[in-house]
Amino acid sequence: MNAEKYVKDIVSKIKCTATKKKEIEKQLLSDISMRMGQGESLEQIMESMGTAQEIADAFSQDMPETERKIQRKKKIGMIITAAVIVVFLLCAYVWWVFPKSLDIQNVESVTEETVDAQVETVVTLLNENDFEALRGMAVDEMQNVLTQEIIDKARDPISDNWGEMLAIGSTYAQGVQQKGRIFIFTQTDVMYENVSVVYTITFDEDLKLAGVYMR
Amino acid sequence: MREKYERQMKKGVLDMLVLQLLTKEKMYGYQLILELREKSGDIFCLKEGTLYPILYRLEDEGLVESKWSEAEDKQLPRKYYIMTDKGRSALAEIYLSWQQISDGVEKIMGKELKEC
Repeated sequence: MNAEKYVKDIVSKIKCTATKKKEIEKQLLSDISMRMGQGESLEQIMESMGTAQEIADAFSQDMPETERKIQRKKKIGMIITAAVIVVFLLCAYVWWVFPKSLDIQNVESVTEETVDAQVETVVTLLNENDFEALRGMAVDEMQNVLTQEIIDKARDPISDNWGEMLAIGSTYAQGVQQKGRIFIFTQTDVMYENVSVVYTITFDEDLKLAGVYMR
Repeated sequence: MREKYERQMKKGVLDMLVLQLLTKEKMYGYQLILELREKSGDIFCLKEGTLYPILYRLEDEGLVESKWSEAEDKQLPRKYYIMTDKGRSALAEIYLSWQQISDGVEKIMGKELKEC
């Protein structure tokens, strides 16, 4: 322990402004230096002055009202700043979580043509029940969904006999951004011999299959 | 028990005593601590944590002002406290109040001691 460390320890515990702390540090160091110059050891000086906490408590207790007011204002300022930051972060999080529409033209990785082509590929593979190929172009979350059993369960309520596909209508596509990820939602009318089906097919920004819904 | 009451009573007169010492000459903090102890016959043994807030308060009120000395040889600069005119007037008023309080205390305590 040296004088500087002792004084820094005291000053760190005093409840007052930074300016006043610097002032007190300077004064205490000056006093200690003078006393050591007069032959007292640091240990003797520390013994007579008291522990860092005792000295700091005495200072804090009797600090002038002006200092306490400034300290209180600073504390309030810090609390308000912290609250503003928390609110800002909360708003930023909500903005990030909330889905936002994106024009497909603003999704850099795709074009309307590539989206149309991918929709056609998915519908064709579904018609052919080529689930292996479908899984090969799908995201991880779809791997257990793209099975004969599950797709048949989705088809049955529409009709038990769709017939052959006659035509694929035009595709409506819309981008959505949520949690930093971009998805492309598409809706396409497909005519079959016995039914008309609306496919809602979702892709990620790499045009990997992320969802299939039919009605 | 006694120590607690002594501390409270001493606290009440410290401002006056510090101002009184500064009427004679300018002093730095530790010098004031030594003077208070010596002149009071060890009754007032202040520590830095008690004295400095008093000096800051007196300075805030304009009763004293402070100046840092130049560094001499290897010595660190010292902060001196000097009485102001406002401080001199205030000291006179405080001392008058002290005398009145002291008389009042003496009247009660003196009478009770005699009765004991």
